[in-house]
Amino acid sequence: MEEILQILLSGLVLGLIFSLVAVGLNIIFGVMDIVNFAHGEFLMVSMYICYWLFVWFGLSPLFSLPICIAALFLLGVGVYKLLIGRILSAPMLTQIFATFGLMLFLQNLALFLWSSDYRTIQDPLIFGKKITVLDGVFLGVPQLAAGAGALVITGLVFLLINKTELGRALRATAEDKEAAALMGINTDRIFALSWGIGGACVGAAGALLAGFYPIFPYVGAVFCTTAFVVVVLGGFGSIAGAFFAGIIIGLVQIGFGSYFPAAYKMAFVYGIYLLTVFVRPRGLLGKS
Amino acid sequence: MSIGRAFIHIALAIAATAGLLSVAAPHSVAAQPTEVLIGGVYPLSGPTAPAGKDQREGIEMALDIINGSYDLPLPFAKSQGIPNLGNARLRYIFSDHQGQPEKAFSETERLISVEKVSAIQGAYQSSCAATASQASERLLVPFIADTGTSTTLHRRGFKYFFRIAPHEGQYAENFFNYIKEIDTQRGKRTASVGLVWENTLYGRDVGTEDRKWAEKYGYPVVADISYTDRTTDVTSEVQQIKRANPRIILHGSYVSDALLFLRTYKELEVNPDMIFGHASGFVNEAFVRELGKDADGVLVWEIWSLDLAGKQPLVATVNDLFRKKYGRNMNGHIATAFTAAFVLADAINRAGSTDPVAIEKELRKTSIAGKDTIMPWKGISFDENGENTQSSGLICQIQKGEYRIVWPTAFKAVDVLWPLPRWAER
Repeated sequence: MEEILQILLSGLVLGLIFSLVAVGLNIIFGVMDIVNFAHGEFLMVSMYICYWLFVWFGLSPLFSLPICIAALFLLGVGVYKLLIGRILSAPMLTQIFATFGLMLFLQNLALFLWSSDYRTIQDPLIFGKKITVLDGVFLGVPQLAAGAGALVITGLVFLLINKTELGRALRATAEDKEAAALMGINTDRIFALSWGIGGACVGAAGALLAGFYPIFPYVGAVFCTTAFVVVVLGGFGSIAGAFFAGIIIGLVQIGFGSYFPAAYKMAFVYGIYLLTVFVRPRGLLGKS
Repeated sequence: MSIGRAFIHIALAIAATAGLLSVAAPHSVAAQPTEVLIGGVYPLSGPTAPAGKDQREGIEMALDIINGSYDLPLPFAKSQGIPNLGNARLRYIFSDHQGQPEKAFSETERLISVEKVSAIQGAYQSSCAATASQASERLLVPFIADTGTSTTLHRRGFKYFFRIAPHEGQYAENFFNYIKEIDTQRGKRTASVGLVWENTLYGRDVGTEDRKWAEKYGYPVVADISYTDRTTDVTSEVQQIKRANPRIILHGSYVSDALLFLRTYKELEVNPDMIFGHASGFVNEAFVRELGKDADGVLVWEIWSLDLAGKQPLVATVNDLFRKKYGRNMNGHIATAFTAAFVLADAINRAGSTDPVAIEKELRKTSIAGKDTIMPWKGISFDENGENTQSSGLICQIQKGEYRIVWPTAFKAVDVLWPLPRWAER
């Protein structure tokens, strides 16, 4: 019984983080039809920002959160203005290579600047602390904070997209760029904003993860692969879809991994990916 | 000519050129070369770059001593360069394989066919040493492995492959022998063991060897868990371990996973009597630095320790030189790379030639006494598989953030702390 509860709790927390990473990826894709292969590296940049803020100013990652959101928003907009905006009408292959190149660039820049060392933020506020949920069921405080933070931020993004004027403009652009432009929407601004919001989401995820996960130049790749599966399962462009899919993937990874040979836990995750592609290519909540 | 045919021609032309290039051009056997070139293939970028940097600096330290003049009881210290080759200088050309086996292969080919090196040293990862030595074997150039502990490496019947350090099989045997020793001391038999290993070449070998030796020593394996390295989360793996409740956990893990496992053990209160680490992630600088107090008590298999300085004054002298140059102490990776460079220098000197085939012949006849090295070994000499028959390892325990030797008795620096304190009582 405790074991099942432990698996559910750990799976839920992991899933919420996957959701937040995937939501950022999905916003950019939904609005622009461009897959950002450097998304994981945005996560890495955010984690390093937290790390240095902690080392230099002793700032807890919990307080670095708004700084990371702002910084990654700017990084997203900057990447759009300097790179993506210039290749909008280029063939899809060019766009893929552009973000792929950005990924390699950011990874190697991080290697150059900070070496491939593994670093951790040992924040006295939360690091290494845990709560006993029930006898034999534990949850780390940093994980709990990350799960709760991811839930709140995903909720806010959902409201932003679905309940505000800006969100409406984003959705309109996603649906039909030309028509949106004719209706007076500045699509260039909307594109930049989608990169900004996508960056902000993954920036938040980075700050939340930085509280307990090792930080190294390749950390993004670890999370980004799973984020792609989440996006496919949830449906391209759907925020609610990415949210639920993230939780499902988190639960599957930890649940199956606990009862089957653990080396195959990712096989179950990719199995879900294949099943979605075959049975329901538009994903759980994606538009057909 | 159709485009298709033209394409085939171009492809064939490229293949032919590449084929010609990779045939080892005859190495010049000039009477008095001014330098001898050795290829060093290491991960100099990518996730394992710190280990590659360690080994590179170990070699550079060795080159200072071999090419310069030092008052040290080491071979080649007092003389400059290789005496039998007109004091030619030893020079390494380093090449980066980024931890990728296919790059290790192509870089080794390049070093041999383009740079014309006389021997190759490398390659940190077992998987990279495997491919790199395949390339050098084909091109008839000796390959000397300083690290790379997989047992499969020396079972391929290669003629040009040499390894100075012990392999996973020796590690596993030492571990279980030690567990038995401890059991006798405390008059209580360890009830069960659990094996955790990552599923590339290194981890698989660890798993296989641990399983084999656990059986030989009669310890039941209650958990045998493989996982994919650099994972996001190990909760499910740790759940399985918790259910099986092994009294001793043996790990074959790289550093990021080792960190995750230890933290998850703490979080989910998994309290074994002991955790053993097969070198790798557990002897990485980041392991102790990032885990702090939580790393204390863990036992690791090591190849070298600064504690040796207590018994071998030469170790302290060389370490002082190293610290003066690089501002930090030596570790196992540095010490083995350092030693391998001397083994090559010794063979080249006896061969009196830069010809790879002549060097291979002399490597096979290597006989270096333990006291002429900084390693805790009886010496260095190779069997027909290229394995050093006189190497051995150390078991260290992390105590107050330092790796202290607890076994073998001849080098013991501190008493072992057994069992590990429970997480709640730390």
